[in-house]
Amino acid sequence: MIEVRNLVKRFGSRDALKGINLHIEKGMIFALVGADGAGKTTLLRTLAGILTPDDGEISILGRDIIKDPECAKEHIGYLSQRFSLNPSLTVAENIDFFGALFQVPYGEREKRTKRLMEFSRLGPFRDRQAGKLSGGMKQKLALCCALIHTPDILLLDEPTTGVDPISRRELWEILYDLLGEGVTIVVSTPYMDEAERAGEIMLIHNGRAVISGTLDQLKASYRYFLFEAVCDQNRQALRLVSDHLGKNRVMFFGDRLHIALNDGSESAGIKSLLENSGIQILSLLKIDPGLEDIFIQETSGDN
Amino acid sequence: MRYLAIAKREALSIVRDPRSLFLVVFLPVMLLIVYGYGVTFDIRHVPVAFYDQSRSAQSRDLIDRYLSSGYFLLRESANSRESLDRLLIGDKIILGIVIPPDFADHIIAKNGGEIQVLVNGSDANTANVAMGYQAAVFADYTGDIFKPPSNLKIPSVDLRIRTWYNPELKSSHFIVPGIIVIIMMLLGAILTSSAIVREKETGSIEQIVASPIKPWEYILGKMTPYIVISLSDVMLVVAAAYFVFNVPIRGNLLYLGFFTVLFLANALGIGLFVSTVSRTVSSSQMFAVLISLLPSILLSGFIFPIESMPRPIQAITYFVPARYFLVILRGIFLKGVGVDVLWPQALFLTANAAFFLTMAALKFKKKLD
Repeated sequence: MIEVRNLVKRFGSRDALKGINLHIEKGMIFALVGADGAGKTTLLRTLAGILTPDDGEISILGRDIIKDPECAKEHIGYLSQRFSLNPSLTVAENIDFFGALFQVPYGEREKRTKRLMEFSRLGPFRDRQAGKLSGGMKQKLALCCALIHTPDILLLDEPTTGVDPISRRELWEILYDLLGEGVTIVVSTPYMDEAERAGEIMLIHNGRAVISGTLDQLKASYRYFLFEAVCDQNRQALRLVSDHLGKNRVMFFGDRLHIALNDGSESAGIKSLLENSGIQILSLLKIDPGLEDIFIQETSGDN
Repeated sequence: MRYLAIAKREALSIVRDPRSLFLVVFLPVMLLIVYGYGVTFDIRHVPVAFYDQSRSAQSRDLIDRYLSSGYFLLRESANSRESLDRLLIGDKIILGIVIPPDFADHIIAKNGGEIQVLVNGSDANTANVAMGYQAAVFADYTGDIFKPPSNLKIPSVDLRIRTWYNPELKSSHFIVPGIIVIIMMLLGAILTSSAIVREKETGSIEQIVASPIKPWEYILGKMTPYIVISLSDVMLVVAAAYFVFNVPIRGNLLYLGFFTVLFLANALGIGLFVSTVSRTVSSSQMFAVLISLLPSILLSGFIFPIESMPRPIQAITYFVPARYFLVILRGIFLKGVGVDVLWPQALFLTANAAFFLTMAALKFKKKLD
């Protein structure tokens, strides 16, 4: 469906993408995860055909979109990060506009608009101006606009950033529905927990794909034994362990500490290290790594 | 269909934004009325002071002729050279006229005589015009005084000047067309440039370029509502020129419409070009004013005659669409001429429109970088 080879994009002297390779199968949700400035938006824009890469190949639906950026556009629904709807147009008018832009026949447009309204629960707001919608509703409307031409591929650039948790869950429900209809979805997000919902995940860091695969594959690549510790003086504990093991081996996760150990037996050493300093350990358990732990493992070498 | 979608969306957003609606509909007429009244080369009530040393019936007659001409307004009677100087320095008067003590004697003896006219040259334009009026009044006066007796026939050439097209030489008759040119240029260039740059600023252009729309469909769609608005503005402004300023419209209104479309293509083309090179609405507006408004005022022949400009500047004026439209409007309004006379202007306007639109189309890319 989407095939990317050695994609390079420079902005002046800054390399935004440093040789990205991608292979995305039809009918899956593919998540691009990374911090702000990692290159997610640049990658999605090159896939949408609105940014010309400096090097590399992109093939979408078997077409070379670097040679002819227009050839795949009608099959792609693209939702930009700063998706800006015309605030003076109503919900229905905004959807209709995108329908016309993609030359969806009028009758068909009506039918699909009705369906999208149901599915996004925007129906009651169809005549409200887009400028007067809440953040979550705006994002749902934007998604409807990107879906009106029933694209085969959906490119979503941080669709849930700045959206309340309930709307976020609703958006993901919509994405799963689309997945059921065979749409291929590429979604970028800065949130690790969100990326875990995707079929395949790629971690982007400084313009490079540090690792990609299914969540299970990523977990299997985790080299450490991860322990979760709760202590009475977490802050001091963090400092002690970090001095002992290294800066990237211990992290706060809410009121817990994640400690990455080379070996399960190391936990006894950590335990005595903390207790010798008068820190009381309330619990110390081996856990499965999350995406964030994997991300830290993959990116810590850089710093 | 994609073209129509863009046009409809643009039209809806103009109609729903009361400020932009006001701007595009009423501002041009308001500007025309304000500037039409404000900008005039006719100078009336030139403040003047006399230092009458003669104090005779003859000198009073001369002063009366000045004041009754309607061009001069008596500011003050000076009773010394110093007070006249003070009035000039304080910009209280434009002309100071000194009538010497022996003025009456010379007039009675019909052997010449002289008066002194001091002109405040700090505003050269006004000074020039005031001098002209002054000379006319004085020539009239001496003509009457030194008229040869009617029984004596001196053969002479009878000079009869007739001013065509604007017999009263009302400057509003040629200024109002000039203001129309400027308003339409400004409106067309600023409206189109901000319409597209605003989409860049808000980011909505990203969705548009990611769709299969063709650049010309987008550009034409964005322009269409403004073409319609500008044409109706022209009608409003021409009506205001006719009814408010009594500018005659001697030519064919259909020709006017045809030339207006040509001119608007230029204004919109410039606006589009500006929009392709600007990133923010404020910079696009600055740029649009710079390349549309200023040349339309300074290099169009509206204020300064093109023939008296240095050659290199004259060459630049070929790229100023206002130059041609000004000739066209004055031609249609005042002379009642049509395409048979104005075709060179039409040709130049067409060439310029093609030039600006091509430049814009070449610069407009469906890419973000």
